[in-house]
Amino acid sequence: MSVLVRLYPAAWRERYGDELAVVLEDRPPGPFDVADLLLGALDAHLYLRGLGNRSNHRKGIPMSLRLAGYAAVASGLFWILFIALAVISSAGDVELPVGFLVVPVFALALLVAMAGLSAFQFRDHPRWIWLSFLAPAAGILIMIAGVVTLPLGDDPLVAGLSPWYLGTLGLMLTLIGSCIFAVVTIATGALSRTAAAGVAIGAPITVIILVGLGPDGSLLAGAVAVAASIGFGLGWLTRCRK
Amino acid sequence: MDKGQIPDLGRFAEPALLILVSLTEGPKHGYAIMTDVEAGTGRPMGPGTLYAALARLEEHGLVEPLAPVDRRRPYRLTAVGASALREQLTALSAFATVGLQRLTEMAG
Repeated sequence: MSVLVRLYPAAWRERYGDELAVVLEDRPPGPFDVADLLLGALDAHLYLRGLGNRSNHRKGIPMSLRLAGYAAVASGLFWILFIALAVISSAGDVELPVGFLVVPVFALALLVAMAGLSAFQFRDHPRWIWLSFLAPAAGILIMIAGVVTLPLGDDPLVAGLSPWYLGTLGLMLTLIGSCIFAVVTIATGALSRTAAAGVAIGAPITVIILVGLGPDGSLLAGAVAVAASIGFGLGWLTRCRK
Repeated sequence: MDKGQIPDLGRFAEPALLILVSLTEGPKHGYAIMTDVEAGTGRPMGPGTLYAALARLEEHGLVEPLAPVDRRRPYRLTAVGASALREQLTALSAFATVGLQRLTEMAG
């Protein structure tokens, strides 16, 4: 029986476990299904304790999709906030460490968004969807490791990378995952074309500039980075209008 | 629950409605319901949502499980479920008609 089925309460599993396991055999779960099952298991625990379902508020769209929509908007907003803080910080030559702390929140929101929005793409492109999901998932872990260890200074921490570089590497993985997701999405339509284009074009340009392959240290580099990043953030924000 | 009405299932109200509509075609097992709902609405239904809604529908007697076939257990609409669904769809249809009428008036 799938690990995901085991997350459900024993009494629930006894009644529905076998058939749910068969459904998961018929349709191997993607990120959307995993998120949906996690919420389902939580709901089953609450429901069996008399805490779930009795609420009177009606919610039209299944929880996983609603969360994904909110998360996509949140990730776009947090990204733009991060860019704004970075620009203010660099223009005013002031330290704004909060800017870097915003990035993990952005990345977490992005992960939730991609899990929720991946449902239909997963049927046609399971490997690409898992890759686009796991890249930012790994990125988040690396990024958080970098952020948490920032106070240790610039000394190499892991594999010759300082905390700052770890954070940047995590960010790049997140952006690369977003780009893969957006490209796959162009064929399947989970994001609007405008949103997918913003993410698909903005993410790689931002990565190129982050790794220093773009125009070097000039005003142009800054302008391109900001434009690409805003395109990336707006891409996720546009999602909310669909 | 009032006779002839789908009980308040909170956030599972819409998935439950979609499942009931899917079962009007005849008994279906979980995977068949999911694919039917997805084809009909263009929106995904995850397995967690499906079984949370199915469990509630079964508890309220709106659907009933049949004997499993190859480990796949089909569900069918009960008479109570059919009546509740008819009531709900009629109410939705009336609501949609009013909404469309108002839109026409607004445009005119």
